[in-house]
Amino acid sequence: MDSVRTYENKKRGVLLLIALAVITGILVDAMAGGSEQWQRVAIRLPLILTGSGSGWPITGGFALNIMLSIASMAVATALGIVLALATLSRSAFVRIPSLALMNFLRNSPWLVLLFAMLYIIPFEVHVFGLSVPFPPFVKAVIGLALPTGANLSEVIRGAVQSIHSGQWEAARSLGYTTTQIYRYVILPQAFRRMIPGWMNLYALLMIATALATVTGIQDVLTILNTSLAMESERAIVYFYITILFLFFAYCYPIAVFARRLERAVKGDNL
Amino acid sequence: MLGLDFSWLGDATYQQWLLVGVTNTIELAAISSVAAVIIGMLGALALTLRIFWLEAIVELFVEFFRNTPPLLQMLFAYFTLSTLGLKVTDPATGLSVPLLSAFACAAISLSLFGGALAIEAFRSGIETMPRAIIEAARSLGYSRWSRFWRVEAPIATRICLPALTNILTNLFKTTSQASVITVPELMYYAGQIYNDNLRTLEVMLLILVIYVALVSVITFAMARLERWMAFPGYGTGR
Amino acid sequence: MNRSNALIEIDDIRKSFGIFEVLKGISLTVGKGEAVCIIGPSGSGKSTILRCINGLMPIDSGSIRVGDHRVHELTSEKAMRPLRHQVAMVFQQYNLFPHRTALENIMMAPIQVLGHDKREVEERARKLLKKVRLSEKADSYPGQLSGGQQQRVAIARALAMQPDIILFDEVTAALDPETVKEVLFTIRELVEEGLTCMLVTHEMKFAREVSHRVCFTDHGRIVESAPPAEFFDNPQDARLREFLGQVL
Repeated sequence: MDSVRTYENKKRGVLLLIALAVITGILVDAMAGGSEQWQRVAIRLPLILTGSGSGWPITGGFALNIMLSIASMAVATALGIVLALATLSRSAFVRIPSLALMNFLRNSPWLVLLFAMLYIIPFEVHVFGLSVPFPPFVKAVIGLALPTGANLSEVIRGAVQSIHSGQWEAARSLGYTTTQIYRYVILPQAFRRMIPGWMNLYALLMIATALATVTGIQDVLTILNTSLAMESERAIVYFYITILFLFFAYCYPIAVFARRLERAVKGDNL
Repeated sequence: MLGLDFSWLGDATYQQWLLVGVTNTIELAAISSVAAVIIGMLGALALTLRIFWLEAIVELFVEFFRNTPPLLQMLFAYFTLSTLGLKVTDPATGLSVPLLSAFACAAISLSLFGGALAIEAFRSGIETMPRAIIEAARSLGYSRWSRFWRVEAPIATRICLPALTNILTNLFKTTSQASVITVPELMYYAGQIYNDNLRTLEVMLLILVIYVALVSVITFAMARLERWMAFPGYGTGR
Repeated sequence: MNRSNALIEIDDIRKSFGIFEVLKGISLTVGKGEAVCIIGPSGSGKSTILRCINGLMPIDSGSIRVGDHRVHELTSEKAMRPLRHQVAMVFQQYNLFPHRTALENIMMAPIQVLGHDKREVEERARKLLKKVRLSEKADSYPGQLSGGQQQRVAIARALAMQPDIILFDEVTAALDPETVKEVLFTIRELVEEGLTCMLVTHEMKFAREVSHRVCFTDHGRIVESAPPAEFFDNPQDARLREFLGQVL
């Protein structure tokens, strides 16, 4: 299909043109006095990225957002698997409460949940004479992992339920137990189908880490706010553009990759 | 166990604040939802035209709003629209005041965010239209427009409904972030209340429950709509 | 037959999908009132011929004339509308519109495309439903009908356009053996009434009883074309003999 290829090429050309226009716009603006503002941004860039003015050690900034997203995703994955299996359980005592919990978490705004976790989780917990502290970072991890985990459990449920019922019957007739069917038949097939959803959720979680600023950790927005107090009104716009670009540059490739996988997985629908 | 104390709920001032907060939240969500659906339809329609430069622009718009935090979008809109540009001089006081309120900035930014999600949802809805149905419409001699309005749109609408539910609930939940730019919605009043009575945990729990209840209403209503609109004989249809 | 008064005249058409050439020079004429069956192994280009005739697929070279329309010269959907008024098509997967009842499916295009009067169209649609013996299903939605019933509604929908020609694209291939009969019965009636039909089918017995002429396609060419008795009893081509040996 040659016409399709030329169409895509033309479209890519326009996107390139827009990118060039943006760069020229920035350059023209820089020459018209914007370079002073960009210098302000450049000076603060190490701080914005790593939380320390010299760029090392990493104590916060955008790097902290990335660490927060990774830690949160790990917790969310564990939570999502447990919750998904619980909602797929044949026992109503397990299934109904876990469905209720899943829907509650899915229907609550991330920001409000994060705030609630901030106050529900104590500052530290005493167990057997040991005091386990809960710093704001841990609270942020949990606060973001809860809704992500609930959404992930829905993704896993969908993937498991999309496996044709014939697979269950075939495995049962071969004498597998329920656990074995999940382990050897269903999950290996469902796994492929849940990867794109998992990646999309990760991108969503990364975007939501911007909210973690309310817990008081030194994430990119907290640092931005403290920096902006010392900057002129005009410079603020430049700072915002920089941060928006950081998030876009991190999340967009993930979204593209997830979409490509999704298309690849769509083919093997039995 | 936690020693929760909700006696402050009897205070008329707090009740008033909560009521105003809920009203503003619903208003903000309703305005941006309607705008988002309109943007979504226009964008998806633009994509069906297969004009390469238009498609490039629409895709760029979608990807930008999908891959940056809505909170930052809102802050950016607030600073650029309200603090920097678009100011009018108040004739009474002679002071220059922003033309757009925080509420307006939040509504604009949420509409664009929701619109980007809606374009994507509607586009994939049109894409998953069975090709055979389109072929049947063509063989009956429908023109491009007539085919879109009479055959593709009614079917795609039903395919898109579940995704639309997600967008509407997502948008409703995201309105809570408008509190950061001082829009007096529910989350904002939550802060006002606990700053006043210092019952942070109780206030946040109550707010959480209110949000979940409101979002559940949307989910429930959309599920009803989906059942009502389903094709008889297919899936959930009668 | 005299070529100039043929209703459909196809001359040396070629069509490729990428590097795969589906039609390698097909020529065929169909006269008014004639019923022509096309049979052949899957992938031999049978359905593609039908799709080219009503412009659903553009051809690479050659010419197609349907009545006064020179199909290969029509470039836009709009230009093809008069052609599609004259040529209706019925599909393997029925392709009814799921959001409209059976009656509405039949009425939609005549009202929306041809701009006919609604009352007149409803009367026509009810007659057609009666003709396909589905009067009692007028208000059912496609999802509530069996495959055979959906296919008969699809035939009625095609007839409602008052076409001169109907193309049937493997219309019984997706149906249960019992329901195949009711659909074939309907088609047979149409042929007997003198409607020009082109059928791509796997029903050999039906092709033999109903059609005036049978064509065998293989690897993008029409290998043999003859009246049914001759075609089935005395096949000339070796590939056709092999094919008939497999399916009969």
